[in-house]
Amino acid sequence: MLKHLPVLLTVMPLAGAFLVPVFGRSGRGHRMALVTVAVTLLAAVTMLGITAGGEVLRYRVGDWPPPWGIELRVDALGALLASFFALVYLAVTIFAGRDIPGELNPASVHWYWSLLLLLLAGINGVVTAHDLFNLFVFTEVFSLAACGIISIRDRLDSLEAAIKYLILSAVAAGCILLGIALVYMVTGHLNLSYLAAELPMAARLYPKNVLAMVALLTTGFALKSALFPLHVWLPDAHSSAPSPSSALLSGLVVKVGIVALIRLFTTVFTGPVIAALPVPVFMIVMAVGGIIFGALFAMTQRDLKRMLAYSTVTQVGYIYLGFGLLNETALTGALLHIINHALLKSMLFMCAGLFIHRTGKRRIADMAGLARHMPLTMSCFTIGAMAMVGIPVTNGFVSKWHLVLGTLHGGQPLLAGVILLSSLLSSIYYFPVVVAGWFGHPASPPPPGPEGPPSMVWPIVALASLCLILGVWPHLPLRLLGDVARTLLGR
Amino acid sequence: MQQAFEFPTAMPALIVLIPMVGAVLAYWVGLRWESVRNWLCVLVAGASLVLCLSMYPFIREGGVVVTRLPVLLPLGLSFRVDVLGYLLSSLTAAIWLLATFYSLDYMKGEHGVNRYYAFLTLTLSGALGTFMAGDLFTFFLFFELMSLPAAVLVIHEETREAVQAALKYLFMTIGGSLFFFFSLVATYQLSGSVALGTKGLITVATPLSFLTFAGFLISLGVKAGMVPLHMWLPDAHPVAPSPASALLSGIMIKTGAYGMLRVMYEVYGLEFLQRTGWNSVLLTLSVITILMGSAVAITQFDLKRRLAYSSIGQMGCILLGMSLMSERALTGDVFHFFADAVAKSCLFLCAGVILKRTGKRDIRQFAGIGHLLPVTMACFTVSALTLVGIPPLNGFVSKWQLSLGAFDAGMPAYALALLASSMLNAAYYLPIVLTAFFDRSVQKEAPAVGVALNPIVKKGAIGWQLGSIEASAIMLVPMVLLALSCAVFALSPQNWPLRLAEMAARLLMQ
Repeated sequence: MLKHLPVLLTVMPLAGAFLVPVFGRSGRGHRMALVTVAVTLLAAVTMLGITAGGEVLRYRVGDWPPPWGIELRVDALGALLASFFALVYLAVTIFAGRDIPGELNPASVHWYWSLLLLLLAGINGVVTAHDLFNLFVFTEVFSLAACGIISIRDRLDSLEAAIKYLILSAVAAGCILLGIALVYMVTGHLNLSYLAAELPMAARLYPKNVLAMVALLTTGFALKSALFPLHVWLPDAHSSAPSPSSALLSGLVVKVGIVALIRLFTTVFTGPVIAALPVPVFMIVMAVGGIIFGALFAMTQRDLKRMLAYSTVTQVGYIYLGFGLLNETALTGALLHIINHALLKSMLFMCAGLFIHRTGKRRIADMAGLARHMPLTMSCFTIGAMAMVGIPVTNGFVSKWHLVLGTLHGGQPLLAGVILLSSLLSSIYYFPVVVAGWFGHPASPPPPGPEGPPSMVWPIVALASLCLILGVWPHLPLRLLGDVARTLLGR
Repeated sequence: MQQAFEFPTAMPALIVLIPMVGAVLAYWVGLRWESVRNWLCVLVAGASLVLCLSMYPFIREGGVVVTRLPVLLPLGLSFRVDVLGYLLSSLTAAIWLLATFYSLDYMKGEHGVNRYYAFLTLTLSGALGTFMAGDLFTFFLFFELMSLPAAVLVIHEETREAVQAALKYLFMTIGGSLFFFFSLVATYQLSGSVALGTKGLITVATPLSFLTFAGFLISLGVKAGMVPLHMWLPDAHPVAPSPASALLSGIMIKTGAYGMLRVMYEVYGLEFLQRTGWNSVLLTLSVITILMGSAVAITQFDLKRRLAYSSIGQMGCILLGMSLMSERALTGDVFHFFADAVAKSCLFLCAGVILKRTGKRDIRQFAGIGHLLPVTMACFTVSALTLVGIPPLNGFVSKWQLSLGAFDAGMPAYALALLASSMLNAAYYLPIVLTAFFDRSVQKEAPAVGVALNPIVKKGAIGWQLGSIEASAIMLVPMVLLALSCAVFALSPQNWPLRLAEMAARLLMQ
């Protein structure tokens, strides 16, 4: 059983996704989804226990040996990401249990749970894949599922956003597929290890093909992860989707593209291949663009969820910045920020979701005086805002510490300035919301009653506490990610 | 260099923890029993004071009290209390105790009292931690823990003005802390350590180390109200409730100057700064701060705003003292932390009584107020004279030492700046005192706006009123104690704070 864990990580949610529409009508779907996610979390954590010591789990699907068979690999990074992603997923799924039935047409609720599980299968598939084609397939799985959970709400703006996402996603898929075709043409392999062995030779023989391939793959995955200026789909998609979907999209889905790129750049396009190409520089420039412009756009938003969505553009920029610097500290920071931002942004979107659920309003101005009626939500939002700015004892501080230290290690104090400037901008758009929430006077108070259903409040509180815990004791993920970053950079 | 004895105890961690837990406890208790909460907060501040003072045996022997908690956060926490930290943390706890005590009456019947006490106590934890930090990271952590909850104190009134002041405060504080963050990371990058207490972490002058210095200067300058980064201060301090203003002006802005002191003498080191001359940046800015702060104070007619600008001027003196780089200047500097903290918090507490009793904030309406509130105005006068620097009072001692220090440093011109500061202080404090005691014109005018004043004025009772009528003992005692300590320490043969200041200066100059 333990041997099959890597594949179970993908197969369990996939099976769940097919079973829910069949057996999960009349409210049972949510419970089935919950159980599936919980079991997936358990599998991921078990693997984390195994791989934390540096062991890598290799799995051959159908026992066919590579390069012909499909190989899955789970290292400490994969297990850690899968664990945290599943954890966020669990919280969001619990939260969605009360939120979704109110938001959707009753006939499509069970489809929502099915899509949710399909999305998880896609994410885990990408995290565990060790060959390019699987990477592509699962990227498509999660993209289409993401499209589904955006458009499932019968509203024009959701549909429009979903179509926008679908089209751009298709462009990305085209890029990735073309890139894979090129790489297969010059090397004859798709398995990442074999590719890594073949590519230096191929790069010497067919430099233009390799250049085009790297460009196509980078563009494709960058589009999926909303790297500036390919982020145009993100604000619409993330703000018009139902809140649990927004939480997953902003928290997890954009990260998956980055994880795929980190895998590719650290296992395949290494050494002489990448030395000839200015990809890291390109990433840094785009990341800086995203950091600054994301923050500037976020400042002008009136809609809470749109503001959070633009803030994601900034945070994705941080991750790419840490990645593009390609030194140990910065990469540790980037990887840590993937986890931290997943926790944070899902939590913030759930706060927004609860706010919308409770009051039916979604403008930032309507949040004034919210703390009187929803103190716990507002506390969690405040923690999230503080973490976004990077105030100590929140997890955002720890990743920012590594990112800034990484820029200095890389001899680029100017980039540290960029990170700090954008932190200041973050405070300019997050803190007025916090201040108005605690000290403002509401124009029209929401109907009296409790803060919200416990199943919606407690997932938020749990994630917020986790943000604080990881801010005070970041040692476990840090130690693991430090090792991972060293391994990935080949030192 | 003389090796300092290290006393590893958990005391500093305990001192920080007590108000932190106390704040949470106060909030929960306050939901049900208001008076229990009030006295709990006083008790917490008192306990912090007692514990701070109890470190004296270690300090007297020239030792440092050290606590290391390597388990928390990426770099671990550490506390390190030397004589400077000891003096300032004891001072902090003492003034906090008095201000909390004063609040018992001042905040009676106000809104959001529960929140006020909880955050007041939480801020104490931050301020104490800042003064006792053993490394820059811990300093940063507690600096934030102090600065952010303080925003809640600024916003307390929830008026439009208060919200705007608080937002301005928040943005500038966060902006400042980002600069600090940069410098913190850069220090770590340059030296591999952020521990305080070793002289000279950064020893090579490179562009990055200058950027680091500039980052420290900006971030700590924001907190210290250094011109041109002082913009938040005149807005934030007046809108807060008076005891909170007293702490903001008396203690919290001192943390910025304290940080600067540590950065200059421990992160960079005396020798390094003398070699590179980077301290001249601060030297110039501090003179501008003295002149600007004091000059603008003259043009303000809102009492609390005038006091806030006066704080800027006094911070200028403190910043000047540390950038002169001579031992006597440093002695005066550390003593001025003490003198200004005591006097300025006393002034703000007096302003609170005036506001509470008469509803007046505009000093042009203060005519005859000294007869109505004799004790308050007497305390006000003593504190004001201290800040002017009249001989038997604290302020004279510090200005004397500072001026001597300027001569020691071979820069006598800066003594003129101190003189100018005293003159300007006189120009804006003495008129208040004179109007309050000697202007009788109020009797001819119809009773002005002050509604709260009317019951007494109508009885025609402008004359010597005793404490019970002037204000309750709860408000008077802290003011009187502070006013007394303006004089007592300077007059007594054993000037205890001055001795500590001398020790601290010697330690820093080593």
